[in-house]
Amino acid sequence: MKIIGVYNIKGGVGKTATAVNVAHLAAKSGLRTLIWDLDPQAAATFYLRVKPKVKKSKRLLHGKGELDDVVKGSDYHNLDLLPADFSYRNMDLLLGENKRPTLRLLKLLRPLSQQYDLVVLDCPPSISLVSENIFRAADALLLPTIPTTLSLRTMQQLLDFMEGHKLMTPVYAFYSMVDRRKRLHQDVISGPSDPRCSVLQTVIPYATEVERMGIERRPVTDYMPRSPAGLAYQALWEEAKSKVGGLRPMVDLDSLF
Amino acid sequence: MNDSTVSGFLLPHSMNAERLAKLLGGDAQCWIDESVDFTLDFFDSFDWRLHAAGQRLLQLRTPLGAVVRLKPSGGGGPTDVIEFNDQPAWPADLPDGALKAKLAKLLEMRVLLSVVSLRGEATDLRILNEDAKTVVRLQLLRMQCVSADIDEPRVLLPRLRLLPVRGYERHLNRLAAHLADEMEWPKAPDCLFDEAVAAVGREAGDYTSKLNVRLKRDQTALQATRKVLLSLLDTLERNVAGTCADLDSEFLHDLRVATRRTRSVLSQVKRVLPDELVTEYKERFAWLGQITGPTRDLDVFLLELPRYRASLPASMAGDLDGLEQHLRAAHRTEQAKLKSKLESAEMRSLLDDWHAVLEADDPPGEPGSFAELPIEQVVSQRIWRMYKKVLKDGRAVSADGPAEEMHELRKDCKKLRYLIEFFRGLYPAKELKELIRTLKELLDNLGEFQDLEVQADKLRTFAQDFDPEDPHSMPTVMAIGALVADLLRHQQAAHERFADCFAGFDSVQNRARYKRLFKAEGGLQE
Repeated sequence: MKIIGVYNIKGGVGKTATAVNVAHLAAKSGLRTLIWDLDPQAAATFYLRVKPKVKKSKRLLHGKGELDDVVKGSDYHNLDLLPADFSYRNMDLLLGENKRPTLRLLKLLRPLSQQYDLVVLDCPPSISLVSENIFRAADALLLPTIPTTLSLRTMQQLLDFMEGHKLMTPVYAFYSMVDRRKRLHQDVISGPSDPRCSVLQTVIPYATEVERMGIERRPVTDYMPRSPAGLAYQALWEEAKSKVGGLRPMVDLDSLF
Repeated sequence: MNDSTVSGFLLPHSMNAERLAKLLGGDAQCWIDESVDFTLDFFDSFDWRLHAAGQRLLQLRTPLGAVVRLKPSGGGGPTDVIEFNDQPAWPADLPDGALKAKLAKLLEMRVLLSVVSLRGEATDLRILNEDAKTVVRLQLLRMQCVSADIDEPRVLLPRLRLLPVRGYERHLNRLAAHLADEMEWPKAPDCLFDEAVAAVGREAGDYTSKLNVRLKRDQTALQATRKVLLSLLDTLERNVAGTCADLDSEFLHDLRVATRRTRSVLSQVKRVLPDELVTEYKERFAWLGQITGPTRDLDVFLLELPRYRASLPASMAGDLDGLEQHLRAAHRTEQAKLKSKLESAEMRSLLDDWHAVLEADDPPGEPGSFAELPIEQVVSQRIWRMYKKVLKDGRAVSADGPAEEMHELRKDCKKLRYLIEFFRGLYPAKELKELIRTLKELLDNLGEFQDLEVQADKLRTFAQDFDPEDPHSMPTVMAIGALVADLLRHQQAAHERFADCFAGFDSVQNRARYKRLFKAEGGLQE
């Protein structure tokens, strides 16, 4: 089982859209995929038509419950969801009560390793105990970044934090919500990047079809797979998959026989 | 992702995805997704070794690729999967891993054959709730079976499978109850395999090389003997095609065993069949034994080869390559000869004539004087006499005695074992079990002793086929020499173990058992 965290300190950078579309494409390719909506805003849960009413996170994080009991099937074969819970707002506090708080998330995920090939974590913004948990659990971090100066600064903040805490998780940044008509966007994309992370080739364009995900309540890769954004997510998934490695799906139909 | 709660229904032949979706509430509640064509093949060895071990091996092909899956037949337990595009035949051809190792262990020398093949189309459907959220997944399977056993494909009833969506299990339960109660659709059998195998007119486990003929104690000796011989003839005939095609070495082996057993019945069950018939068929089956011998000998060497290599120092193991080439070439020649003989008019008429004899109301000629006696009386006496002979000769064997006395004892032991096995249906199974076990142990020891000697002798002969002047054959000849020495050392060890094996056979309890089962007052004059 591989774990990919989709993260940025800043909100509104296309993080949830990335998590949902990437998870959908992974499932479609035959990987048994779980998306964990860790963001109390519950956008991923909403996109996948599941009601965010789980009340078990307190027990979960205390180590009494199991993730298994709260997983919900999505509308897609091979794609399950661990819905958001509003009590995640206090997750930092809950994690803080544990003995080894920074490894709690990984411990929770471990029993799922036989059931899933890939777990995608849709992470809440900001740096906290939750995010440190995510950094430790993930095999790789995907970092959607809007090509602006401010965004580059938050990217550096993250990399500083990771360096300071000796976190070796590979970070793959990519440019998101890109408007090719903006000079600034073009300059940032063609400019130098922080050597502590790799920048993926794929660029996700700013597109209304992505914004429509809230109306459709489906991944854009499902309802408009051939649109520029749909194709860009496809390319992003291919690139991320080859970077992370070890993600080769089996033809899965025969679990049915 | 957990399919332990999958349930299924059998639908009428007229059912298709559109009709089904309509029945389940139309567009608003049931969506039809994609369809995919698939083939699903089940494999096992000719003698059903996987089935006997409670395993199923299947290969599923879809446009996305092909996977091979080994899983317990009852569902549950560990499943192994590999991606594999070719038709699986030998475990050695599969990629390394758990599946390969398990198969190799279960199959030994047997090759995988297709038991039944399903072709079909799988259509995915979904049941939606009021939020248009998927709450149950459905899969409609429309399939037909094909196999070498039938001319026309058999169409199976469409199957509907209900697959839970996690967190929405109660929707599935409600739907399943509705389908059973309102639609009155029958539950699909859990196992598609059984259904498919039955559809092509077969039954899992329908071949075994083991003898188990149902007999009654008061059946006449003639009836019972014919029944045993017919069962042997059936085994023999069923192995001819596989032997000709050289699918694996076990076809020939089973064919030879059935031949040997037939000859053994003919010579051991005395005064039942007409004398002239016995004389004629002993000779004709001796011919069959003879023509199948050379290929079998080479099979044995080829099967032993990995063990031979392992017995040599690592630096010499490669020197047996020359021997292997030699064996394979000889095998090709002998196999071609064997095939032409098995396809000859002589073979055909042997089988046809033997059928006619065994199935006739009365076999031609004057029946033997025991023909109308109860089989149990005739056989018990024969077994008792053979047992006494084995006992007497076995007690005379010594660890430093001549090899000949071991060989002679083996022949009689084999006759004794065959007799007991042919007619095991006449005696209480529980009593026979221990008796057969000790006999088998003794026979294994005697067999090992003789086989090692035969192998050593044959290897010496092979060595002579290599040119002593040719420097390339030197390492091969030397490796053969090392091998022969090793085999003879093992043979000596087998000789030394004989006393222990025989003591197991000649125990007080065993003697009492033989006496109880087979000894009768007064005797028939054979």
